[in-house]
Amino acid sequence: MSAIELHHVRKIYDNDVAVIEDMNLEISDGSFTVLVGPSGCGKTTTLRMIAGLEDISEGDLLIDGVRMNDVDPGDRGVAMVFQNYALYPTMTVRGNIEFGLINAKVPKDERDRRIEEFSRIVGLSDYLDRRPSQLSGGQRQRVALARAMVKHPKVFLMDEPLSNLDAKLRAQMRTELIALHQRLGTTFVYVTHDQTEAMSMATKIVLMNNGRIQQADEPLAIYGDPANRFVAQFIGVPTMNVFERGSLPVLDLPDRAVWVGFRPSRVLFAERVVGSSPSGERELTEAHTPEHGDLIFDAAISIREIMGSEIVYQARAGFGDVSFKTFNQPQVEVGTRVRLCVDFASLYLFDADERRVVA
Amino acid sequence: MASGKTAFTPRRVGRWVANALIVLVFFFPFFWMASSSLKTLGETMQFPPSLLPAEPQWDNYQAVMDSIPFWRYLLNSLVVSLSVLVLQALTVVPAAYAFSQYDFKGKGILFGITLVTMMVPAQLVFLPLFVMFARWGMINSYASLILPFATSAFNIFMLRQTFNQMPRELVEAARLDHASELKIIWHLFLPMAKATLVTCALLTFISTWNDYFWPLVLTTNDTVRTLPVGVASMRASENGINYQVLMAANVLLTLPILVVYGFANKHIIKAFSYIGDK
Repeated sequence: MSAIELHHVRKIYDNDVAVIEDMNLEISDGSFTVLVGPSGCGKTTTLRMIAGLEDISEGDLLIDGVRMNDVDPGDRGVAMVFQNYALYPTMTVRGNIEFGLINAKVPKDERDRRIEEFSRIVGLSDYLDRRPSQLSGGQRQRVALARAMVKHPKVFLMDEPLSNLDAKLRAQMRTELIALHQRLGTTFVYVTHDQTEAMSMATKIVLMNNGRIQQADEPLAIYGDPANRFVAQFIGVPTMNVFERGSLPVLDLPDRAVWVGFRPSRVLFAERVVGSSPSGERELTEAHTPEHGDLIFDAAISIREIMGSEIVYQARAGFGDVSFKTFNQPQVEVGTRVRLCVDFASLYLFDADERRVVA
Repeated sequence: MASGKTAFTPRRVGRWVANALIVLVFFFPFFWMASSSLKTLGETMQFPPSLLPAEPQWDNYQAVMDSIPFWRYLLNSLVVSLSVLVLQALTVVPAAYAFSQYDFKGKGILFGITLVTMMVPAQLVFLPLFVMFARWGMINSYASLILPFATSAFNIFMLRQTFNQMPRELVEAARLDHASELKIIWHLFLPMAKATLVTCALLTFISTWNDYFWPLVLTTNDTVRTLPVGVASMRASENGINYQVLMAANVLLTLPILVVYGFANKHIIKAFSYIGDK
C-alpha cells in the first residue's frame, strides 16, 4: 500500500512560474524516501505540499488513499521536523513536546506516558524542564524529533533536519535516524541536498531537478543505473567523469552515444606506479591489466586529496581533467605521469539529450 | 574585569558631565515639584527661592483632599486608563496579527488607512466627536472617555512590526501541532512580543492617564472627571492659587505613573534580555 500518492501535481506561484511540473510519485508505506536535488529543484515545495503548508495548484495528493488537498495541516496525520527545528522558544522541552498532544486533546496520563517514552528514546529525559535556548544544536534537533514522534504520525516529514549540525554530529544523527526509522516503522519523507545523506539513509531516492523527477529508485539502482547524465553526476563523490565521445580515444560504442562517463572509483592504474606507504617507504601501487576495448589513457596527477584509506586524485589527460580514487593504496606524488584504464563495462553512455544509452 | 581602575580620559569625563547635565534637566522639575509641595505658601513665593522647605508641610496633602474630590478623580482616572488598556488589547492584538500573518483582499489599503489615522490631529476631530457623543447623550460618561481610545493605529503598527519578525516556521510548526489561531497568538506571539507589548501598554497608559484635552471637553461635572482635569481645576480657585497645594496634587497625579514605570521598567529589561536569549 502506498502511504502517499501524488497524481499530476503542479505547483504554480503567483508570478506564473511553475516550480513543480506534472509530478507523479508513490511513496510506499514504511519507506524512508529521500527527496534530493540541487537548491531550487522543488523538493522542499513538494514536502510542504504534502504537509499542507503549501497549496497544490493542480493534481491530487492522497495520504492512505484519502484526498488531502483541502485538509488542514493538523488533520493530515503528518508531523514535520524543520531545518531550523522551529521549537517554541516560549515553552520548555516538555511544553514543546506536549503542545501538539494538548491540542489534539490527548488525556493527561497518556501525554505523560508518551513524553516519558519519547524523551527517553531521544535521550532528553533530564532536559524536560529546560528551554530550547539552553540546549545545544544536537539536543534541539532531538527535541524536534521527539515533538514529531510523540504524535504517532502516519508520515514523518523532514526538511533538511541535519544541515545545521556540524559534520561529526550529522554523521551520528544519520545513524540514529536510520535506527529510529527501523524502530518506528513509520513512513519517512526526507528532503536534503546532500547526496551522501540520501544514499546512506534512503530505502528510496527521488532525485529532482527543475521541478521534475529525474529518477525515483533504490539508492544502489540510482548509483549503478542512472537514467540520465544529471542523475549520474549528482550521485557519487567525486562526481562522475563525463566527456564528449569525440574527445576520447576511439572506442567501439553505439552511434547514439554522444557522452561517455565513468565513475572515479572505476579508474585503475594500468601500470604499477611508485608511491609511498603511510610510513613513508617506497611502495608500488597495484595495477590492472586492461583488455582490448577498455578505455586507456595517459595523464599527469595534478591534485591529491588524502581522506584516510581513500585518496582522491585529479589527473590531467589529453582530453580533460579526470577524477579518480584509490583505496588502501600507496600515495602517488603530484606531477607523476601515470597510465590509467577504465573497464569497458564501467562506461556510462548518454545520447545527445543526455539520456542514458544502454549498449 | 581586566583593569581595576577607570582611565579619566577627557572624552570620558566630558561624556559624564553631559550625562549628569541631562539627568539634572529631567530630574530638577520633579524635585522642584516635590520640594514645593512641602513648603508654605510664603516659601513658594519668596525670592531668592529656597531649595528645600524649612519645615515639611505635610498638611498640604490633606489640603488637596479638602479642596477637590481627589479619590473620585483617582478612581475615574483608573477606570478610564485600565479600560483603554483592556480594550486596546482586544482590538490591537487581533488587528496586528491579521495584518502580519494573513493575506487578504484590500489588506494594503486597510493598513494604509490605519496608518493615515495617526496623521489626523485630535483637535481636528474633537468637534464632530463631541457633537456625536452629545447627540447620544454620552457627555459625562465613562464610555465617551474610553471609546475614542479603544484602539490605536500606532500600537497596531508597532505590534505588526514585531509579529512580522516571528519565524514563519514557528507558525507552521504550530499549525501542524493542531493549534488554533488563538493558541498561536496566546502561546507563541504574545510571549515573544513581550517587549513591544510592555512598551506599548506603558506608553498608552501614560498618555491616557495624562490626557487633559479630551476629558476636559467631555466632562462638565465631577462624576467621571479624571485627575489631570481635576488638578488643573484647582488653579481656578477663587481665593488665589495655593501653589504648595497644587504641587502636592501634582505629586499625587504623577506618582502612579512613576510606580507603573518602575514596575514596567523591570519587565522591559527582562523582555529585552529574553529576545537576546533566543
